[in-house]
Amino acid sequence: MENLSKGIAKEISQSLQYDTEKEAVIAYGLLGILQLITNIGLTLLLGFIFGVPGQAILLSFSVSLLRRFSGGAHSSSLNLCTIVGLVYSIAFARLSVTLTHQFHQTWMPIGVGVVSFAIAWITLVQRAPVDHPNKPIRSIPKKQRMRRGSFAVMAFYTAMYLFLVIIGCDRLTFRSFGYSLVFGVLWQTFTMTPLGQLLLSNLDKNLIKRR
Amino acid sequence: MKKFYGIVAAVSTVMAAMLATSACWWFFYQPEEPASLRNE
Repeated sequence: MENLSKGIAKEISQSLQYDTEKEAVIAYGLLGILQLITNIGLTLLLGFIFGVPGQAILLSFSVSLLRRFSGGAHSSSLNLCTIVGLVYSIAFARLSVTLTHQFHQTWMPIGVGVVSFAIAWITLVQRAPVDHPNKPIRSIPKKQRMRRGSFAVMAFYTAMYLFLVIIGCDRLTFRSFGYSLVFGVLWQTFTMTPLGQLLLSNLDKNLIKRR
Repeated sequence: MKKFYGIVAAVSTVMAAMLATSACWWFFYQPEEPASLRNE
């Protein structure tokens, strides 16, 4: 995908006589578009196959939106990133539906929500934003802006979860969407911790270096 | 064809700018950011 975006950017830049910096910007933006389309397409496709398209998309977007502000661990390979994201989204969307149908008690979504959001808020307050060597955040105003953004997104998620749980008392599908949101939040905050960074770096070492 | 390339270039540049204002890439991969977009 990276080679494809660079190839298209080169073709466009030659045709429109852009310099190398503008070509790099186009390649960067194109890669973002291609990755977004691929991820949404594959998540929907696998979601339909496993009967959880809505839950999987909600989970995937809940990770992505929070990640824009909070940062987190990264994989060194685009393909591994896509596979890890897909496997997690589908597996935990499926688990959300199973949890919904196995445990009908009202305390279940309340308990899951209280514990998960407490962990997520504490991690966010302690660590956001987490940067990456390919995109360092050094200025204090940007750090503060990202921190405020993370808190705003998390407040929105907390309200959305409450809303889904309240509606989910009568309609269980909404409860499964609530669990998907929680799993997205937990995964994203996990990648902000040293343990999450260690996990992704080990996946990198074992799956990529072996190839 | 040049018009089409121009549209693709414009959309990609907007997307690149949008990604540059975030803390990181939206999935688990962070390509190196072009120098002109860096805002550390």
